Amino acid sequence: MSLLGALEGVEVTNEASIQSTASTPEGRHALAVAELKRVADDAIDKLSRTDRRFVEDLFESKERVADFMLSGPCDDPSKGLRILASLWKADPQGLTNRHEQTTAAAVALTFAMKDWPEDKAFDRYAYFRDSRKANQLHPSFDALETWEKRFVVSAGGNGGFSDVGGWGNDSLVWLRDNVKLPVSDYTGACWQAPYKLNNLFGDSIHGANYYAPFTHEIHAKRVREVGGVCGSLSHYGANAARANGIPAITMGEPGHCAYAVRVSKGNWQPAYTLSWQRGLHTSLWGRTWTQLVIQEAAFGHKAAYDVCQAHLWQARSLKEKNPDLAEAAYAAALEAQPINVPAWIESVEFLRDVRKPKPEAWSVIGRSIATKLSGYPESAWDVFSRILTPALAALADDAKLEFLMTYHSAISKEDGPVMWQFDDALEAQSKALGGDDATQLAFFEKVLAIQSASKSWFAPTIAWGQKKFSTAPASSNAYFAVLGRVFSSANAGSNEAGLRAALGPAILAAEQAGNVEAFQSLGKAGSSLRKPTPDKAEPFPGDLLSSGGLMKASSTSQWDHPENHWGLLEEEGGSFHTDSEVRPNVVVRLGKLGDVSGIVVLGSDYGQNGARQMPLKISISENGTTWTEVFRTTEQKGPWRIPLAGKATRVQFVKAERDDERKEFFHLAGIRVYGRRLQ
Amino acid sequence: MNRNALIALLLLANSAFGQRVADFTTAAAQAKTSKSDIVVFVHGSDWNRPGEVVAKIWNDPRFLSTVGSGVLLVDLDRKENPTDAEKAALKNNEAGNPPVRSLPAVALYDSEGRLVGTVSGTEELAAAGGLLAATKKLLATRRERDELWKSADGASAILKAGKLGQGLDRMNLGLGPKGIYKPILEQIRKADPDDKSGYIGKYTFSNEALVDLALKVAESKNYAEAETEFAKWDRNPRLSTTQRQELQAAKFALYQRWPEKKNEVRPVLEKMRDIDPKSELGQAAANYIELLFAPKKKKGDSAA
Repeated sequence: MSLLGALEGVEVTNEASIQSTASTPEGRHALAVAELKRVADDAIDKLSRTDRRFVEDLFESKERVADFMLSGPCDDPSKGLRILASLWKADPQGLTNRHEQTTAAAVALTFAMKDWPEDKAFDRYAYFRDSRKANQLHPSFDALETWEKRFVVSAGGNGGFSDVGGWGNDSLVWLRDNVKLPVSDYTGACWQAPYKLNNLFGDSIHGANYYAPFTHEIHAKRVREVGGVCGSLSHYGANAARANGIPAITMGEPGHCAYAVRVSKGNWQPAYTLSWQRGLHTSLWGRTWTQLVIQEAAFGHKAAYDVCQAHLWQARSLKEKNPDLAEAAYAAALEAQPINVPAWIESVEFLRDVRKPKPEAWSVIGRSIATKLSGYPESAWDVFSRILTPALAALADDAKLEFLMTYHSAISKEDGPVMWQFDDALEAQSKALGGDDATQLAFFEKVLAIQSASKSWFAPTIAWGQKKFSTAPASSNAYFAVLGRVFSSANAGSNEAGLRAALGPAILAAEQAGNVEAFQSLGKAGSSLRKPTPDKAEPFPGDLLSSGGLMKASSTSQWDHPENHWGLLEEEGGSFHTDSEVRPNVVVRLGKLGDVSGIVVLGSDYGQNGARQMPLKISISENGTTWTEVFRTTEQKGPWRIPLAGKATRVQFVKAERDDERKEFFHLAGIRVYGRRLQ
Repeated sequence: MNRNALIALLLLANSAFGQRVADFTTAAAQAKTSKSDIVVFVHGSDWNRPGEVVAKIWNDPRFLSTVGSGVLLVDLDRKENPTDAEKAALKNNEAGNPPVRSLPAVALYDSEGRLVGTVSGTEELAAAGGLLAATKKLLATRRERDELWKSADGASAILKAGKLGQGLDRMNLGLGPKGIYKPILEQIRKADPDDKSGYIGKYTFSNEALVDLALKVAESKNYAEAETEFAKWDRNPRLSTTQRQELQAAKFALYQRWPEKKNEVRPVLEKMRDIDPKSELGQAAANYIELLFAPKKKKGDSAA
């Protein structure tokens, strides 16, 4: 079919034609061309005659149009087309090859982003073209589609372009030729560069002179030789992968820079990561880890993604002239791919701003969002939050809480791909709900009742409630009364008992979920319940790396007081007490990744019950799965001091366990880990 | 002849010509008996395309005969998609997986399973003259090291320490991964407790510790403490070129923060540069001199 014919066929006049035009490759091609003309027509008119010929030629190719239009959003389609035209002009012969075509499209889409220089796009394209042809890239590069290549060709710094002298093409060449590893090994490549806050001249990484004397070296090489901190090391690891044709990204974490490598299709592996609070530097949509996982799932079902996108194009073209049909097109898009978050956002914004639904319709929309995206609670909230204000404004007072609870009910049984700022969502819901303390507490009680069964959302719900209600005397009593009702506590109304009743299971839930922030928040909240009993023990040099971390025991028991868990990692002391079991243990996740100088383990009883801990074995780990034993004793009188200088250079986890086959309790009062921070 | 003796003889006979061994665990056990070297070739046959040419050389039957007798060859294939059997085999190679930065790589382990050296990545292998030359060089390093250590056996005091230290120098591995050569340092300490040879200093030298000292004393303004420490290191004749340059850099860190010694800043950088002007650190010192002391361009000066 000719292009003209295709464009005629793209006319959407009724609901049946919505389906028929988007369901065939020819129809999607025509819709893609129409969309591209809609967003970039003016720019196409301004192109030179040669470039216009290129665009006309491009429009004829189903594959090449799909590369450009079905590989994730393009920030600036006019710029993207200009770049693509320039690449074709510069390498017409090379771009007859399908591999080079997808690389060119990925480069055009990447360099179409703000602050990416158009005139540098060809060099990036040529790097990957030449490296591929010379068999210098990992063979998996050849199997990547355009959208996947966007995570490769975007090598640079913090998601932005980096020129020669930084993480530019010279560094890529060096990394390609000097760091060639199996894909999964790139998650450890960052450690090829030493972690050094000061260079050998004593200049801090935070000053201007850290790398300044090493201008004669390629940046990647000088990072390996001079060193760096988290930012340099993570960029070294991520760009080493990308230089070899493997998708990777860097990402910000609180006070830290980490990275991730896509070790296989659908499987992103975080590296040098210290927190779930990750802000992706490169992403096709969104900036959180959940968004990375969900976009991978969406693009992984490329056929569904393509149909969904085609319906979005239909909807955009119909929005003004036929909103009814546009709504049907949006519905079709969501039906084609219910986890497509940008489709959801665009659809609900259309409903909110153009269709202005009736109150009962908001409830249906809210339920639909929560249900379809329940496997990704953070994304569900991202979409749900966009209708929160108008929906609550439209709904009657007695329906508002029910509306909010549709979200909580849908996600309560789902853990999602990763922890996220659930407390921020609660705060936003509470704010949007408004009202007096009683309304707010009613909201908290309903959420708590739903989330008390959730492994992931219970602890942050308690932590949020604690922060919001427990400080003011007026709301504090009511807050504890809520806890009492929810936990059916016999002591409801008594602050200490209510707090203990709430904190215990919440702390244990935070430990089970590995939620460091909730563990810390709840641990500090329990300070009034603790009597600090700091056992004196000589520390080792450096910072207390365990401080601010998280502990998780293999079980709990009636003698366990979870409010004391927090102090186990601190100088003030704490405790835990497992049930009677074989090989009981406690795993400590350090507050800071570190080069450990030593560990001090304190017992809670060196007398009659001291034998319960024997033989005591201490192990260390960087990832929480591979352990190295560093200490073993049968001497039940502690504290036990374990010097580890030079023997534990990268540690994030410490495990204490009883290493025999007895069924017995296990309890300790302190695991203090000292050393040099590596973040 | 009993059965065990026959097996031992066979092993000896095999090792005399060298042989390819299934995995590192087997090779390590065999090496202990036959006192053989173990050469490990690490590559990825299903992904490492630049390594294919090198792998061809490794797999050539002439490679084994050319590297010489008494050598065990272990092929460590880091495949992306290994079969279950290959995964199991990899477990038997874990102890022989050297800490390398790039593949393909070759590593040499001595008969006690200690790493002697590695050459990793196509660039390093090319610079070493190829896989065969790199392997031969590693084997020569091990032989020279052992000659030195053998001569240390008959020596005492400073002479013994010197021979042991020279053996470590040959490998250029510091004290090795996970400090495998710490026992050699302990022997040096025992033979030469006052470190007249300078080798204890050389193998405990830490640029980071010296820089940290400079920064620490600068905070307390107790500058002289660091200067005394640096002078002690200056007297050590065994420090390598890089270590001597790093020592000057640590002095620079001190003098930069010591108002009365600001005039020493340039001389220490010049000394650092002149120790080896063509080295990376020599160039870094020259760059720093330029950065700090080059005349600032006046407004209106045209660019050269």
